[in-house]
Amino acid sequence: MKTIVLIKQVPDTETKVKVNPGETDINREGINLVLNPYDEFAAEEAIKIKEAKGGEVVVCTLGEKKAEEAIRTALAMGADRAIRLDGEAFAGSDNYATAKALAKAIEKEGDYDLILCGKQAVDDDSAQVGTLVAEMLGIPSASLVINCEVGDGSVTITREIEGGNQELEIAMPCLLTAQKGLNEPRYPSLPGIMKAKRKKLDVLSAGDLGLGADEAGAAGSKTAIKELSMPPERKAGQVFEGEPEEIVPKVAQLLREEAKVI
Amino acid sequence: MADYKVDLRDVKFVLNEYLGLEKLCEFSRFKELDFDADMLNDMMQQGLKFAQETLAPINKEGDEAGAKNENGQVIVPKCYHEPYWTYVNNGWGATTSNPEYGGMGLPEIINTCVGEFFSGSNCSFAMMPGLTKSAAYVIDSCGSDEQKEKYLEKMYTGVWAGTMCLTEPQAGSDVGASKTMAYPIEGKENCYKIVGNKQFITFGDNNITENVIHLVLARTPGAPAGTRGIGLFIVPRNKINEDGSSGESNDVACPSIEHKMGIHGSPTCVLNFGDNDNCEGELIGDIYSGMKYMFIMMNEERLMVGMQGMAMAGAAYMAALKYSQERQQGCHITKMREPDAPKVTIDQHPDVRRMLMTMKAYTEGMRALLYTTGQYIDYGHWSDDEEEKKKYSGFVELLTPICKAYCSDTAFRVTEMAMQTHGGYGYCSEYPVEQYCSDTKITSIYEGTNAIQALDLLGRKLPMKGGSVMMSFVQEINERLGKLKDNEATADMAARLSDALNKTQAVIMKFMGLSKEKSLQAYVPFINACDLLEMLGDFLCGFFLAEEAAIADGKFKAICAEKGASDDAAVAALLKDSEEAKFYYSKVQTADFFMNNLLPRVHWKESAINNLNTACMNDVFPNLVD
Ligand SMILES: Cc1cc2nc3c(=O)[nH]c(=O)nc-3n(C[C@H](O)[C@H](O)[C@H](O)COP(=O)(O)OP(=O)(O)OC[C@H]3O[C@@H](n4cnc5c(N)ncnc54)[C@H](O)[C@@H]3O)c2cc1C
Repeated sequence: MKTIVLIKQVPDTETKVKVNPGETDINREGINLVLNPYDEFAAEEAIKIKEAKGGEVVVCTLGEKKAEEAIRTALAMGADRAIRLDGEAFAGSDNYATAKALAKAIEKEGDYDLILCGKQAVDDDSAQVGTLVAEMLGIPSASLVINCEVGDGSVTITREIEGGNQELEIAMPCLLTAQKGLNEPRYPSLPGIMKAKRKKLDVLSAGDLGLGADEAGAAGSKTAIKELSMPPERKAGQVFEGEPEEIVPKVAQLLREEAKVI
Repeated sequence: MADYKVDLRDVKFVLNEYLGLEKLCEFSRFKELDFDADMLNDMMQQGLKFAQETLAPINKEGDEAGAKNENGQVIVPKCYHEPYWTYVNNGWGATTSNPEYGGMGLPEIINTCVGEFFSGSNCSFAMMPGLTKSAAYVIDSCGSDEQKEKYLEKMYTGVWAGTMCLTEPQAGSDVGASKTMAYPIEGKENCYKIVGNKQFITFGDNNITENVIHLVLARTPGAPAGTRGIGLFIVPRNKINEDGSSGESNDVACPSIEHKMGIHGSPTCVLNFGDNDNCEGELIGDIYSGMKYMFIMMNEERLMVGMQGMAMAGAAYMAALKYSQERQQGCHITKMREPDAPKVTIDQHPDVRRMLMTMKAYTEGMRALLYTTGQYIDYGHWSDDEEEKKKYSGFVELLTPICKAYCSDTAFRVTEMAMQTHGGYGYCSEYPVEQYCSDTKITSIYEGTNAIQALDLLGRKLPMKGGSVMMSFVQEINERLGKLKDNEATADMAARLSDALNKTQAVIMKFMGLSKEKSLQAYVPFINACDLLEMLGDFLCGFFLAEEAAIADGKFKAICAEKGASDDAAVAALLKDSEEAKFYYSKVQTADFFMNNLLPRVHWKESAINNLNTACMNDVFPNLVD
């Protein structure tokens, strides 16, 4: 059983994000970067499956050298080896171009039974890459998975849907995106962290994946970020004092005329 | 909210930019492990994650539940159980320990850094595995091969816990007054019947591990009085079976635990050994060398206690900083007379800013002191160069009482100031500083009170090897001060520091002379030993902050140059924009604040000491005891 886990390094959730005017990325200075929390669920699930069924867990990311920190976290948890996609050609990749590169890398790797990834990355929250990869590979996929039982040639999963759960059986190979609740990700142990450094890590370029100049990075993207801005600062609230008979009509009037909510 | 905040940027700065790990990575022991900055970073991140996600949320819960004694069974807060196993199973209980017996064999600097996170997020919890590791280390260093086989792996992996049993009702600071006895058992080599009562034993029992291994100081019949006649014994709570498993009770009872001001999750136990004449212990090493062996553990613990203080001070400072940025109260000082002036958050008030800066400066100074000492431990243990080993081991011995006493006293004051910053809310247990403050107080008392640390410094460490360790340390400091003097940004700081160091040294010289006096003045060194220790601590804090400032200043100027920030307005804009620029700028400002506002305490103490006042030694106190 070979499981591929797609991961991303993201600013930790405590980060106070800053945007510099005119720039299309957040200010990354001094930010503490971690493995995307939803990807931890994906990695944990893959490792649990390996522990139960045997086989191999390969983690894959598109990212700069620094993203190896996140890779090492997954390796320290128990993944076996890693692939990192890097190079100028990937600069400016949007979700589509990222998915394309990952799909190519997965095809090159071959022989996989299952692909797992987080339901979304907590930095851009777009929740697209996993499903796009599945489409590009022509395999079935399910999102928001909170339970997963691997059977013979198929997986039975439970996924979250509006107001309830849905149970599905999906033929493998397939791709699943992990939702909180799927499992309790383990902490990497110290021996795990020490071993992670010695595990195999391949770095592949767009060329290695056979991607043409117009298929990767900004050129291969369908979208481009024009501008980032911070949400407008919240205005101070208004406090009304007095007898209810007096203030309720005032509040109602403001809600209708200014806030336009009733 | 159970929240543990640590200034991770400062931790990273100390490790990577100030201390640097290059030299450490070259030592053969660590080369074999492929140890490098990446690995340290990975461990730091994971240690912090564990501290924040698992230990911090149970800090208050464990404090409120408290350790209990139910019919002689010690009950550790329930919320500790599962995290304990995660902790030890992941290797945190044996970071630096011997790999032959299940330890990780990592450098001390890792232990120092994650030690800050663990003690800062949950001091009570961290104590149990911390003591176990050090108790095992004593057996590792001085025990027989058989003893190592029997105990080490189980202790390094946390299956069994460990304790240190020195204190008795009549033997606190005066450890030599210990009365616990060890009677040789005929026909059983190295085996003794242990009989006696110990007091205040941290995690003296627990209901998590299947056994508890006590290291007990006891004396054999006819042994010389005082510390020269004490042996060290391994006394398991449950006897060890032939096959190495834990067996029947070894007649160690815990009739009660203390009710106390803080660290409520940590049981402080009365332990009775051999009430039924059925408690057996194994002698470690030489029959009268118990104190020497126990000192291996005490030295480790003393550094850990200093770290507990610093860690909680750091957490309390961060909590106070955050609170001050949220709490609105009053208007800006310049608008005092305007009734309609907008309210500001309290971090705008100059007095609150003074407190914040004081906490910041002490915390960062102590962090640099403790991390530096951690690195010296690595140099002292693992350097491939014998001379270097000796030099740094000496420095560690010299710095240990300072790390313990200075950091614990200063930390308590920092946590108290963090409470003050919170106003009334800080005094209430809804906010975390109340617990930080009450948990920190013990650090100046246990592991040898700070008075005992000051006497250790004065009587043993300063005169050690004819004073040569201190001299070589001062020489190194002076060389480094020379470099700071050549740097425009730190020249003034260095001048102030030189002055403070000279005054401190003058006090030491004066003390040496006074001890020969026949008059009451012979007491002056002892009256003021704690002040001398604090002078050295303040000096070192300032010194490390200045060295850090030199590095930070260079980096700050580089960023300014790169971003073209050449005038005040541009710099102000840069500070708003760039976290890195602000961090480096604040390091320099912090050092500057320390030199101007806190370092002068050294001068004040020097002039007070030089008054040679001995009034307290006269017959001045009313007698309250008949
Ligand atoms: C929560 C807690 C946990 C503890 N854990 C352990 C443990 O795990 N193992 C263990 O063995 N012990 C432990 N202790 C005991 C602790 O180490 C002692 O309390 C401490 O060493 C002081 O001893 P004492 O309490 O008897 O005070 P005393 O020795 O009676 O001291 C009282 C005061 O007199 C001063 N004093 C005493 N002698 C001198 C002197 N010669 N010169 C100057 N001043 C002096 C002290 O500084 C102090 O201010 C613990 C204590 C507590 C409270």
